[in-house]
Amino acid sequence: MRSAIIICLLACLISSCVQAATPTTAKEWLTVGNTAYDAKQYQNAYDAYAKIGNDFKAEYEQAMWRGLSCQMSLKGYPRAQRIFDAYRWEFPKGDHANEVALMGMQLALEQNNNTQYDMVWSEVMVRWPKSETAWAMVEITCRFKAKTDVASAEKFLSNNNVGPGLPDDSGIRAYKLWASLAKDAGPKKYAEIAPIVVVALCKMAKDADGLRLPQQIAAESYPLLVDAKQVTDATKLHKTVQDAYTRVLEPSGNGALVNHSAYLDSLAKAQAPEFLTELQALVKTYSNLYIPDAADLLLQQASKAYPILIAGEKATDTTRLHDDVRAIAVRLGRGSGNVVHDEMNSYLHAIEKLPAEQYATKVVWAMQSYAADVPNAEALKSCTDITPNLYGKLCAANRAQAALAVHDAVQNAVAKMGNQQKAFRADWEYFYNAVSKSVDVDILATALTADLNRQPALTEQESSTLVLDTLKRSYEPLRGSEKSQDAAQALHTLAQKVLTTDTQRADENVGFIKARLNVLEKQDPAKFLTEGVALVMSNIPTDVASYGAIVDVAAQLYPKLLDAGEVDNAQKLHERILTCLKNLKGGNGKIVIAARSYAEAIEKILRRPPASLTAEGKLKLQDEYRKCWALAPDALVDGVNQFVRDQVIADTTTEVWYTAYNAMLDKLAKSNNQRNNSMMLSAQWATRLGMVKRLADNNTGADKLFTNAEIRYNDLLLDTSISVDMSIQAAAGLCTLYQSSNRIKEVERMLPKLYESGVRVELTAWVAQAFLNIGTPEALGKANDYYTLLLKQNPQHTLAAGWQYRLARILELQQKPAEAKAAYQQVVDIYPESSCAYAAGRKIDQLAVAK
Amino acid sequence: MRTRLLLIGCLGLLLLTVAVQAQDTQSKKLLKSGIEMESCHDWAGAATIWAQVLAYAEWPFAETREQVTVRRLYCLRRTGKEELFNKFAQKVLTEHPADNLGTATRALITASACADAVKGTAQINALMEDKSTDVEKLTQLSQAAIAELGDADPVLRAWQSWRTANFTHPQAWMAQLVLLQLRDRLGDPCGAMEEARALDTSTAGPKTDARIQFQIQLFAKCGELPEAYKLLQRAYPTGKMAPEQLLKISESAPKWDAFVAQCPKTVQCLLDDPLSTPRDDEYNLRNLAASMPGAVYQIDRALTAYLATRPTHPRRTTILLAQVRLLKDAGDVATAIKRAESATDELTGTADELDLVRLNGDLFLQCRNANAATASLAIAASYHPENKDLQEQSLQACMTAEDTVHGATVVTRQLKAQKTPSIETLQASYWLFIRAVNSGDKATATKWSATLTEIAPESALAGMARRKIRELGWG
Repeated sequence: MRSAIIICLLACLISSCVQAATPTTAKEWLTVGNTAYDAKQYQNAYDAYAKIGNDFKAEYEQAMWRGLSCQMSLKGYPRAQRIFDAYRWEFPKGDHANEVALMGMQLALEQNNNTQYDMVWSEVMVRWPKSETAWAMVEITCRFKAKTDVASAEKFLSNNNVGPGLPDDSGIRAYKLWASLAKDAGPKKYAEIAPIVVVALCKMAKDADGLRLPQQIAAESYPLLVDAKQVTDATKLHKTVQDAYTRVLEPSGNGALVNHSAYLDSLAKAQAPEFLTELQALVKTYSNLYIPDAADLLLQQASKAYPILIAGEKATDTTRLHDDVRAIAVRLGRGSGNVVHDEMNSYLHAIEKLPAEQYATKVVWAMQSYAADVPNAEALKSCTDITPNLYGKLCAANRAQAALAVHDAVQNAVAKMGNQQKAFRADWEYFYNAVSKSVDVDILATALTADLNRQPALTEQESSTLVLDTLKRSYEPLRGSEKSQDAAQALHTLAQKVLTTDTQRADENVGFIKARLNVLEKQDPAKFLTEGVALVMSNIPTDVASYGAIVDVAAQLYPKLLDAGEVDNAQKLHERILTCLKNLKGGNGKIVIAARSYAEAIEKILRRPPASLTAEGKLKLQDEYRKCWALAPDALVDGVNQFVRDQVIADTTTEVWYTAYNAMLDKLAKSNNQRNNSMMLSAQWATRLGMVKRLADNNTGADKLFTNAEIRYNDLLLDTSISVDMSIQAAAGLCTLYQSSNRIKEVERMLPKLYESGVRVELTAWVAQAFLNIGTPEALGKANDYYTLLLKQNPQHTLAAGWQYRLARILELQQKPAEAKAAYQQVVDIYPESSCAYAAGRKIDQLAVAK
Repeated sequence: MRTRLLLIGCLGLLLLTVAVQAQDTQSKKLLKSGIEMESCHDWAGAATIWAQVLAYAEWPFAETREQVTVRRLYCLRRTGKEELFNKFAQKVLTEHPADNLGTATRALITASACADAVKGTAQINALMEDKSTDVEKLTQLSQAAIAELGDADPVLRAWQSWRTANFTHPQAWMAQLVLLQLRDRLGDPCGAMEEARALDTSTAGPKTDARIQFQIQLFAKCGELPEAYKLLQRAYPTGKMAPEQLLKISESAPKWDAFVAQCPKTVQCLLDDPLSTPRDDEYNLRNLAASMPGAVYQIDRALTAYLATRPTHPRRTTILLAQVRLLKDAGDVATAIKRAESATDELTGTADELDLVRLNGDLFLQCRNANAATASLAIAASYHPENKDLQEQSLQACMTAEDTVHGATVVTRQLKAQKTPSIETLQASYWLFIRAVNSGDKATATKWSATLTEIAPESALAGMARRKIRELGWG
């Protein structure tokens, strides 16, 4: 008990402390209450208001009025009733008596208190006739009734919409309320009631302002009616509103436009067929009127109509609508930027479905008209934004000519606007990207020429990036077309100007000139040679990397110069290249490349010498070729191979080549680090040269070469460190050498020697095979011995099955069928997994038949 | 009432559309399964399908009725049901005595007859009795029969035996000419040339310009230019204007002599070069052959002579291969096979052996000797399981030769090697299944059906196999 008292005391103490921080005056409490009330914290607000005592009349009145409101919101109807009664007692003529009265009415409805309802109704009618309060009573009652029974609310409204106590415009208000009630009752009800309300309100309206409400209701009901398949009703409603606007002498004002817009929107959304007819009628109407705001309306609605028209395969109607709408819009001042842009986009998108030819024509017309009246930079951007897609589509449909026409139109607009580098560049990029995919050189060239004429400011330094970028990418595609000559020339001139003024880009000069030469190479060969030679001769190299481009240019020039019979120029050019490369650090690698390209050009011309090539010129070229060879022996070996063989067959200039090859031999033998390889190569070359020599009329020197080769082959065969493959290669080479010089006996002498000296299995096998191939009785005997020995010493060798097979074959050739059969059988028995087993099996069958 | 009628009309139209579509899908399916069965050599199954297709009154297929008729004939012949085939073939011949379908049917009848020597000769006799026929028609028909049989020998044999039995027949020269043309078209120009020589000495038959031209061309083709030239002079002694190509021969005769004289030296020069590669050799030889039309036999002889003097040549085996290829490219399959045969001993056990086997397989298939192709390819395939191309090639040869023993080995190996079996392997498996069904080998058929179901349970082929097993009551 005692502790409970202590706790109570403590609680009182704490609460008094807390209270010390809370408001103390009525005004303060009122402020606290109002703040909470505004924040819709009705319970807190009420608690604050309850703190205000009736000593402070003004504050008390406000507290009661607001307190009542709080309780109404909190649905605390008994407490609200007490406050209502108290207010009417304390402040019968209070500042907020009318509002309290309305709340009392609401309270009566909520509590089904008819007495209080009637009392309040009568009081308000007497005290505040024709006021908003009076109408509010009707509205409150209707809304309350409508919650449970719309019909009774409607009945109440029809009985109480006019009266001496109600405002003068209560008729209109009643219709508005009716529409509102219907709207709350759901779309079906609204679609039913709204037209009645609109008709009635339209009749009552005296001016455009009066029509705003019915127009709004009509706008809300169009989609409902269209959705309910009552398009005719929607049309009637739309006509009613329009007629009303005509009646008030504003047939084309803003309200009427909004009405059209709402009506057409609803039709378009439902894709109703009436949409197109209504729109077309509207277009016809506005084509003769000057209503600037109509432009946007028509453009917006037309955007929606295009896809529908195209889907219905009405291409002509689509274009006609677009043309009409655009004509009206232009006449009325073009329309808003984004609306114009959207309309054009929608039209272009819609006509994509047409066949390529029609599509292209229509796009060109549309874009020409669109670009012609671009008023400002913003609109220009919209215009260029459309183009990438268009160019791509037109080029994909092989209508690059149409893309060019569009590009022309857009670029004309860009030029007209002046100083629009960004737009120029954007459109050019789009166009270039699209056209370059189809590599339509003529189109590109025409566009480039026209664009460069249109944009004189491109020569300025800040534009150099654009020019050079364009150049880089355009040169190559510009090759091979007659029409592109002007464009290439214009670009080149421009590039030269840019490169002269923009010193930072001077390094790129060689690259551009090279590209330029590529173009000229096809278009103007004479100019190509002059400019090319001038470039190479005048270029002062700075480093190997950048000089590489010059070497490449020279490689292009050599064959052309030689074809044109300019042997001297080619020679000078090559000398210049070599001099420059020798002076450059790391230039040796490039020397090989330069020598190779020059040699290839010479080789080509020597293979098919033109009639214009004199004997003297020919000798000079051969001399040049030898020099190249000396500079790049390894690189030239492949080319020489082929060429020499041709020379052997054609047998023309053996003497000249002989000298050259001889020099080559020494060089190869000395320079190659892989001594054995070079030894082999030199032996093979010597053999070949000997053959060349022997084929020539003058036979001297062949024997010497053969001896030379023989020595080298023998040296290789004596070297046990070389690979087996190489020793077999050397042996085979030496045998061929003997055979081609009719020294067969040497072969027969050499083979056993090889066998005796060789400790290598593969070499022995090769010798055995050679004896087998020789096929004489003695040779077969030797082969037999060797194979027997090989098999005895290496029965598991990977080649053993083959040796056994050959052994059997030898016996067969020696006319020993029984032994041969037995030997073949051994292949099958010992090496059944080897592919020789199958061949041996067949042999056994054949021998059995022969027997 | 009107509304009701309209409704009924709409409903009817709808039903008709659905029915047409269903029929369309059905017919497409039918056609597809027929082709599928054929690709797997299921001749009986396919023949049944084609009979069903031919029963269609309305023709909804992309293929013409004639094409399907030929397909049915083709399948029927392969089923081995001779009576059925002959009955249907005679029916077709009655309806189409002289058009393309008739010719195709006659070719199939010939192929069927030639499988038996006596019947073959009788069929040739029947063909020769037809007065409206000519040499070209007979040659084409025989070619088609050879293609159908996959083997030239039976047809050639039938012609030869007819000719031997009827050498006094007024049209015997026609048979000779057919044989000659057949040999030429089968890649044996030298064999054809021998026939031409025999024909040249015979006086029978009209010596038309075309016939003489053909003989001359054969001589030229086989490198017998002087002989061609002589025949030309003999045929037109009064200088009657020779046809264009003959003029060319007479013009090239002097050049030819020079070429022939130079040829061994040139070949030696090209091949002795120690710096050449096998590719260079082949390229040079081909160029050399191209430089003088008809010179391939001169080059061939020069090569043989050259190789005899170069027993130790470092590129001997590849030159041998090049020689075979040269003859193959020149269209003389018969000589190419001879050269390949003699190169076999030397190439066995070398790195170039496989190339020769594959080349040989190609040659045999080209001259319609599938059995020979199968024998070497299937064996080689067993030694080289890693060589996919060889496996495919040998499988094709097995299917052409209907060699199920080797075929089964190759397919089993393929199935082991392939993670997902290729369509070719699946088809070959089904082919093996059908062969087993046809020969009444229940165990093998069930095994292949099970294999198909295991490796590709969802495939149409597995489905067909299972259905067949069920139909036969083997399941």
